[in-house]
Amino acid sequence: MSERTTTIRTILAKHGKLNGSADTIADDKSLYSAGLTSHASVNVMLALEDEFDIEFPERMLTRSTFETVANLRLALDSLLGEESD
Amino acid sequence: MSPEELVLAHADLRDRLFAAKLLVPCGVDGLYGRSATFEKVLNGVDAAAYALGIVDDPITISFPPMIPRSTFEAVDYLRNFPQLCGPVFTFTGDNKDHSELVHRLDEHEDYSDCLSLSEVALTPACCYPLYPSLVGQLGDGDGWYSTMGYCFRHEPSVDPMRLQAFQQREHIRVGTPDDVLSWRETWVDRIPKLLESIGLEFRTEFANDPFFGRAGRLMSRSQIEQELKIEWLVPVFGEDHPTACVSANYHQNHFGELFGISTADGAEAHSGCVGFGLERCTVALFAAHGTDVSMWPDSVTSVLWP
Ligand SMILES: [Zn+2]
Repeated sequence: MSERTTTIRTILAKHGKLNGSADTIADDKSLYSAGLTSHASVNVMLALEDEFDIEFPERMLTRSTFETVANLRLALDSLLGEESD
Repeated sequence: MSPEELVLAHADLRDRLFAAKLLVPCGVDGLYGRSATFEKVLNGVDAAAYALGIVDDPITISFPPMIPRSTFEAVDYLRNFPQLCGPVFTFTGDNKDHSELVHRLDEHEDYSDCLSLSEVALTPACCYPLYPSLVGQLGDGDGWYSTMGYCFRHEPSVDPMRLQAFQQREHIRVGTPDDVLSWRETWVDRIPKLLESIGLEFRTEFANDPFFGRAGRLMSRSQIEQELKIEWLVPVFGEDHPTACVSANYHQNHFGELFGISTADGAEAHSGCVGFGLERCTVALFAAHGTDVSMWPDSVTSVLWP
């Protein structure tokens, strides 16, 4: 697993209040159906911004950005550039 | 209408209400006295809005216009709407502190750090005090409520539709998600009939609450995408700037989880509320039918005071 995805999962575990484990939820499984509330998604957003020293632009402040681990990864990649292995 | 023209339109309507002595200036934007006629119309709107919910046989409860600060904090008001909040401050110091306070007053200096938070806050939405009172399991056949009262939101404006102190009539449903959503649908049918019967034009939109800041953008978008809030907007200042006069809201399990409310079957309760902005409806009526109530159509007055 990439470092970014690991960080996303760590932050989801801390702030997402998911029903199951944030370590094992599938990349494309809806986090909302796993219990992510709007408030929790805001906390995830703020924690990601802190961790990566970024600001999500207006166009990314939508439900779909925070819907799956894969979408979060795509958003981070587009803000930070592709992760080098 | 440009922003400048809109402010003029706000001021113009407010001036007409002042001139007709329906509203009385208090020296602060958004805080007005009301004439007996204004109150008669407002009470008529409230009675009609209350009557619409009678078929559900709600438990009717009134609360003071303040809530415990613990409730105010628990409902995340400061996280979501800090710009609107009204916690109550008071003085709890000793003689020395009091001398300092009086000195500041005499010198016209800021004295906010001489005061401290009290245990209450001004009610921002009149359904808030209900939820903590429902802690535990609902009784069989319970889950319908109605309340009315004063609310405070700090948004000073010359717009007479936007007050700092205003009254809401709220109907509240607590139950399963299906209970709440099907109940909300009944209101989606009822509300237009009431607005039409009192001669108000309106349109309906999915809307968001004014969540603060960048985090609030995400909250607002989520609210709209999930269709949690429906508003009935009346175009008092033109089609481009309609004002929400009624809303129907689905809170999901927000309050059920927060206050430990469960349905009669033991499941975590969901909730929803329908809120009528009574001053907004009243001002919209004066804007639509004129400031002389004796000239209003019988079709309207027969609904307001049957
Ligand atoms: Zn409410």
